[in-house]
Amino acid sequence: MEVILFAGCVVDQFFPETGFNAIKVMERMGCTVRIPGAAGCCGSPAWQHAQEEIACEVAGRCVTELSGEVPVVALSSDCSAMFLTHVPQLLHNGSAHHEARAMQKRVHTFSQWVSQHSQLPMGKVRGITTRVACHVACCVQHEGIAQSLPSLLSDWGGFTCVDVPQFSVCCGYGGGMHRSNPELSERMSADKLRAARAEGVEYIVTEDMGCLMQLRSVAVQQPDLSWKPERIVHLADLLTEGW
Amino acid sequence: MSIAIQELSAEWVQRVRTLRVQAIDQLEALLLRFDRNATAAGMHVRWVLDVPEAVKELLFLCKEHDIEHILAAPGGALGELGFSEILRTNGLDFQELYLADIESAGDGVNGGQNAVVSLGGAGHSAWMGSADLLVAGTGTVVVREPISCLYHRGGPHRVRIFWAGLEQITQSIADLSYWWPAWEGGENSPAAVARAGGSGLTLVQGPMQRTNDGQPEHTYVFIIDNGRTALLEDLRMREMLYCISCGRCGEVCPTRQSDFGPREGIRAGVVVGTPEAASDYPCTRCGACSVVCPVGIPIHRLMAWKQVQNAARCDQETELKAWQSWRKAMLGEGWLGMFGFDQKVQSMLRCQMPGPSDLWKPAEKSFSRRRAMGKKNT
Repeated sequence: MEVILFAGCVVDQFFPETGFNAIKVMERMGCTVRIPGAAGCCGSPAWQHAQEEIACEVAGRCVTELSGEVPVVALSSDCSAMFLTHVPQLLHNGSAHHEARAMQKRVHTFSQWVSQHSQLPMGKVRGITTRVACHVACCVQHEGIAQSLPSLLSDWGGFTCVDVPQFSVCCGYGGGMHRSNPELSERMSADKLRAARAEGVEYIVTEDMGCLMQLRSVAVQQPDLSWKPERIVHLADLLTEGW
Repeated sequence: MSIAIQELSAEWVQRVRTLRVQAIDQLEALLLRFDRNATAAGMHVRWVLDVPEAVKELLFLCKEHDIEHILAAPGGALGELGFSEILRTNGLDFQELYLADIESAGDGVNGGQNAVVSLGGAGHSAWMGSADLLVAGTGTVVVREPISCLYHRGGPHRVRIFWAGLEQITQSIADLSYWWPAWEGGENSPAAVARAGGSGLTLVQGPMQRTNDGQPEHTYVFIIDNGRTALLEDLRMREMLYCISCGRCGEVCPTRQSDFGPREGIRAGVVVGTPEAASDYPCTRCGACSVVCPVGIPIHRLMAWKQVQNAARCDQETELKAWQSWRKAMLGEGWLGMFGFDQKVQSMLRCQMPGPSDLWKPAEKSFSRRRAMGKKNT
């Protein structure tokens, strides 16, 4: 099956290995992975910083580039949320709006795609017992997008998912708050990292690049939290560890 | 922080939303009907356009009725209009008291029967006894019932003034039975603070029963516009008029920067007329507020739209130039995979990333370029 992997601008420029790891997972599932040439950004960075017009233009180009029938898997959940909720609202005029709406049916989060199409219970084969905490981005939790990350990690990945109550709360990244109110934003992330530490969590897993960077930056800036930034990982990186 | 908040069924939310939408759709008719009923019952209804007009009216009434001591219930409309400061600067002798501190709410509101907010309850203080004017924001203005469903009893105030945003009009007290579950909350929750400030608890109903003991000589109801009419015409922001002031959004807001929550962040920008206020509210757009809103208002989306409007108003030349550069980089002809664009994109992205800018090391070759090169080699 042919699939478009939409890596997003952050993965493209800063975390290319995560992109390659996602390809590994998807190819192991028998997918033929296509990377779109010119559709680099969903417009989320501009939208998060209240730049509506620019977000519209960038998102519009993306929708045009990704048009067709092929399923689209967005590697970062903020890109998924853009396509699934915000882009049709931003592109509220003309054919672009209808293209965006049609595209909603083809867009999947990475965890959704893997859990729907995987057959091999990888964790049971590998005998993993790592304790992980899932950080499901708010844009997935509160926008009505199906959450597949926790079940994927436990059922398919074989990981021990620790339920940390604090993890249902925002990490402080969204809405550009890490820039407009960095102190508060860092405090929110630090609370999460501290709670995960208290529960004996070894890895924090997310599929949102914004949250990942936010949590990692706080782990680096606050060494007293005893969190190694490399232990805050994208789902694709965790699944392919040791491959 | 673990948040426990009563879940409300989708059907229930739909019902509340329908009631609110109907009330706002018939706003003009309901307001006029209330005006007629209240006037016929001997109350004075005043319509005020904005804060200066409200202040002028308040000071005029104080003079007109020789008011010396004022009891003011903070929060709600009083907070919106900044009356505390005004009373202070005009040298009026006033005391702030939360109504919830001094009242014992009668039962029956939930069931749509008569209910009483007693101002002469257990917390009745000596100061309160000497006040001759009560100024209070009101949660709801009820129109339909032909008899007094709720009135203020006790307290020697000669004059009472109630302030209500014009959207707080409600067809019937029976509607409140749907509001009530949304007002449930922990004792120290922001919602409880909001309630203590009078949200929802204080009702003014058109025809007062003037024969009741403890009724004031004069009762005024001020209907405040203060930007609300403009909201009616704004199809997105009109949603804010459906708000029932339950405070649940503040209860779940992860930034917890205000007792009244993100709703107040938006209202401050819209209603009070300070456009910066909405963008000042530290919103991560997580959407937790919208999930718990009993009226189904997409609060975080409204906040995003407000931020967009405010950003357009603000003079941020440097910021805008940076975003234009980012836009060019993102829309540049086939920028992905084209040598020379990566560096520009990376420097723009780094500005938006959390933490110090040197924290994030850009890849020597981007993912898409490496992928394209790999394919070419094979």
